[in-house]
Amino acid sequence: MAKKNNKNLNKIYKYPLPLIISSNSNGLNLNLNLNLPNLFPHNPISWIWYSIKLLYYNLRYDVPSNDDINVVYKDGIFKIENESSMRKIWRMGFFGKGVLSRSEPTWKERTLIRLNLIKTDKCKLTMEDITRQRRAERTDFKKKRQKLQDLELKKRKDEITDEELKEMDELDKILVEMRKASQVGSIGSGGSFDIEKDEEEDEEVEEVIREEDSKLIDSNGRLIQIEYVQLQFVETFFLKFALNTIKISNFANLTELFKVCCNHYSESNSINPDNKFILEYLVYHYYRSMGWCVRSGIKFGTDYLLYKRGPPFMHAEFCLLIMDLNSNNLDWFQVFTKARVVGSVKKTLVLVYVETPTIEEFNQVFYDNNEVDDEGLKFLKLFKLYKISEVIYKRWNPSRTRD
Amino acid sequence: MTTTNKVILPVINIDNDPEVLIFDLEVIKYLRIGLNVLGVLTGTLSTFPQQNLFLSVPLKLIIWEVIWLTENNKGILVDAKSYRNDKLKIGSVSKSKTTNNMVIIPSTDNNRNEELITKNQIDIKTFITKYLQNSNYTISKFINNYKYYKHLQNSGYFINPGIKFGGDLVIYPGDPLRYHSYSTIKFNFCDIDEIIVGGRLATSVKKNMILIGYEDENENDKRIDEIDDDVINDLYRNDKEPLTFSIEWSGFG
Amino acid sequence: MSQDELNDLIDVEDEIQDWKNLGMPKRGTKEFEPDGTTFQLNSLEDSRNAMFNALGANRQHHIKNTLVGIWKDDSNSCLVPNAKGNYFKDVGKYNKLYNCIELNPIETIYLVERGSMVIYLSDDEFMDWLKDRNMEFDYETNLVALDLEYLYALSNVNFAKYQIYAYLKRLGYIIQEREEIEQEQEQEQEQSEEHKQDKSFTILPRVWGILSYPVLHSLQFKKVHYFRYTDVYKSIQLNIPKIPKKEPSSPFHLTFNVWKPTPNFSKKSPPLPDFQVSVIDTSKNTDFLKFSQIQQLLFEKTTSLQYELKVKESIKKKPKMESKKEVRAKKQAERQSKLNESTRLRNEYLKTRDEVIKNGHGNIVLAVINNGIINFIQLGIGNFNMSQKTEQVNRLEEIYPGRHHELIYNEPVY
Repeated sequence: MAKKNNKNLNKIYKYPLPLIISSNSNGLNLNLNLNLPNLFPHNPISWIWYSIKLLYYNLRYDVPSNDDINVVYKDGIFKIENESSMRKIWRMGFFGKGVLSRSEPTWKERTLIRLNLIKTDKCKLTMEDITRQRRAERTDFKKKRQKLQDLELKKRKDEITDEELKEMDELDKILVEMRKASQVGSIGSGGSFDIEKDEEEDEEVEEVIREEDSKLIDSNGRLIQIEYVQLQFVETFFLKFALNTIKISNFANLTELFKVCCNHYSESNSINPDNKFILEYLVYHYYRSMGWCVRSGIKFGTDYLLYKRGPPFMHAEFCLLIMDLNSNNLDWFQVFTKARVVGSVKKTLVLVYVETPTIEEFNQVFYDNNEVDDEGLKFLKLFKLYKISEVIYKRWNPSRTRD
Repeated sequence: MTTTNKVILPVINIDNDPEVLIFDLEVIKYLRIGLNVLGVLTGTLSTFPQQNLFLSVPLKLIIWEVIWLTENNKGILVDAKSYRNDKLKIGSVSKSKTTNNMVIIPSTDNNRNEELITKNQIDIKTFITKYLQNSNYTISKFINNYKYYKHLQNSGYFINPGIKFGGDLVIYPGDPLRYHSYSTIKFNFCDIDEIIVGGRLATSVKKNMILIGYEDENENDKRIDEIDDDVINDLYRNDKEPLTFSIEWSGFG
Repeated sequence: MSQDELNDLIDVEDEIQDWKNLGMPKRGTKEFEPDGTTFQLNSLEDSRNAMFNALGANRQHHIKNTLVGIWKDDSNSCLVPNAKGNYFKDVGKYNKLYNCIELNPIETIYLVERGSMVIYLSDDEFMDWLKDRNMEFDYETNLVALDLEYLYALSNVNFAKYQIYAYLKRLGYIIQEREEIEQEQEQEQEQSEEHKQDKSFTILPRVWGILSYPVLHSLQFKKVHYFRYTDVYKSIQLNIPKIPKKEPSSPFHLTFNVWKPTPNFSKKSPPLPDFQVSVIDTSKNTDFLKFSQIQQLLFEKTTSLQYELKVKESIKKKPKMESKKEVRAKKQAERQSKLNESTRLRNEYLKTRDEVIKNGHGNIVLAVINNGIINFIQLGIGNFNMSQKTEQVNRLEEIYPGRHHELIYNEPVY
């Protein structure tokens, strides 16, 4: 990671979550250096000052409105299809995965470059530029060829001067070279083309685009965006429950979303407290709320990867493996090989255990519609029934630690 | 049944966690050169006692090697303690040797006493029963795993335990002293997770991963403490060859 | 994959070594496929002969240094009437009744196998002699010498334990079996606090009726002003507690205390161990440990406070030769001292925080042995949410009091 890049990266990725907060939007560089939780009696001044400022801002300004990102649920997948939302959800916290890309949705940019539809460093010209250039070359060629023919006529009529003879020779050479050059083609200005052909039969430029690719281009010559961002179930629930910054079509409320997510893992109608989605979600939320960027760990046979800031910055430091508290879901071979793979990419393996409440405790909160009138608070109460512990697993080499 | 053409497979701790440990260098040579059976050396090498790369006798045999040698009548299991005690009683003793001012502690005493061998031999059923005492093996799994080993051993490979490379076994085309292994073996087919991890690990140490299993697995529901002749027959029966698939980690672009 | 990455993956220990390289282990001089050429066959024969010669080499020591041990079958132990040499600073126990050092089976086999001790089988005559010890006892004439095989057979040694013991001993570690009694160590005080609750944020507004939305209410971020992302993170924390300890049905126990080689080791009052090791034989039982079993092992470990004190002590007694690590650390310290105080503090804060997260606390070592192959693993309790107030966590609190240390998001510095 070049250090020069850091400044740029910091600019692009300055929001850790897809949420615009008050200090950002109104340009209020508030710099309220406050230590909130401590109400120490011996520091009443900062306490009062903080309260005054808080009261002032609350009265004076509205909370910035965040346009909710639209998420659709299709074919059992949560998708974000709007291009600017796709960019936003990646840049503000690294959520989701572009289905035609490694992670960040870059299919469109890459395809524009591949099909020469935009300028890049490698390809100085777009297709339109190339077409224009070829047109110019053809015109030039024809002019020169015409001139040559005129001179040849003069020669036959014996009216040619010495100078004109020289000119004829030179022209001849130039034309030969032009033909050669156009046959070979050049990198950056498209492939070969026939310089002597007439303009109307100018299909060579289009031949550069394969038939499959031509379907990607609409009638206006623009590339159709076929990529979307797929959100994991846990990401979707987080964005809805914890941040409430997405709008999901066809989902009336949080509970419905919750049920759909749970059903993905177990087809029974009732939801068990140890439903895999709940365990995965709790772990996801636990680490996200401590500021980690949490991504899928399937590449290494684990559940999650933890990044301090995000993939563009530094490689992930930890691989999380969610373990069953009671039964043995893994044997030594499996843990051992995962640990070895994780170690080979210089990350630390963390085994995460989740203790679940009994089914009675769970149902009491989940199906209770009386006490709590806000869904967010109900799920808060539900999740508080769980417990999490971590075990850090490292290979130990006695030959190395002896010194 | 004569015992003279079978090597002694000394068993220690028959009642608790039985181990077959070979101390006789001639037997070790014979197993390696004649039968492609490697075992694992576990003892301190007295000439270089402060390292762990080169270890000396005893040679530990893994369970599959023990069964294979017994099945093919190449070796006979003998209770080391009672055999040696019996030999002591009849006066067959060793004295520590002294040559050139050096006191020598031998590895073993090579004098075979066929009668005592027969008297102290351990039946394979007993051995397996005791071996599986503190294990979580089911009989079906045990039998299947042995057959996978047998298939590879009979195919001529040299075989070592594979835990270091994420597999059950690791196989070599020739003696590991001179030849690299190119495959780690995993018993039984596994889920996508294990394929990713196993394939990735194997390829990273320059091997491929081979899954070996039976399409329709042997089902033997007997409990571990009921190792009887039927189980042994099951174990020794020559079934059709197991299926094998090899996996390598790859990538695009 | 770069060569460096490959080097990291394949330890020298993973590859079967060619015995021609005895003394200088190398990597990668082997073939990939037998081709039947005489070149290969000769090469193989050479390697095999090198190996067999090494295996066949005599296990011996000079007659002047002869150390004699007498195996007592009834007590399953070995008596050493004339203990001499360096071995006994950490090996063996004093037996009052016989007035000599007594070794357990593992220690006995270790010394005999490496050729340091010759061992005989005890008899009544010897036991009588032991009481008075008039004159020298002629072991050679009177007793039966045990070869290595006979010794293994008589000793009923726990082979998995022995292999771990010998492995570490060969590397120079000091290692002793833990007594069963030691299991009743003082309870490790779980000093975890209830995770700090950001109460003021909700109390204040209630007083004035402005921000009446508690955390994680659906309208939280629509109605409440947030000025820092730090506060956003704090407000979505669920404050999930740790899993309490439960008794495992089939517990594992710590087997060995291990110390890095120190010159002044005292058997009678040993310092706190550098590592505490549990031997796990997975040849036949391949189930990974249950969480309750891991908790149990960590519970058996001596208290973390004492352990950290031990770490401080060992830092003082560093040997004179500076390792690369130390040179680097010194240079870093120099660089740090040149920066101004607040930057230095910030760097220390970030570095310490990283260490807390990466290392956890209360580490134990598992020696996992599978069919003769040994792998060591270190397990520790994770402290991502900083609920366990270790010395390092306290240091974090010293540097920036009141800060939520588990929150790794750093406010941008303008």
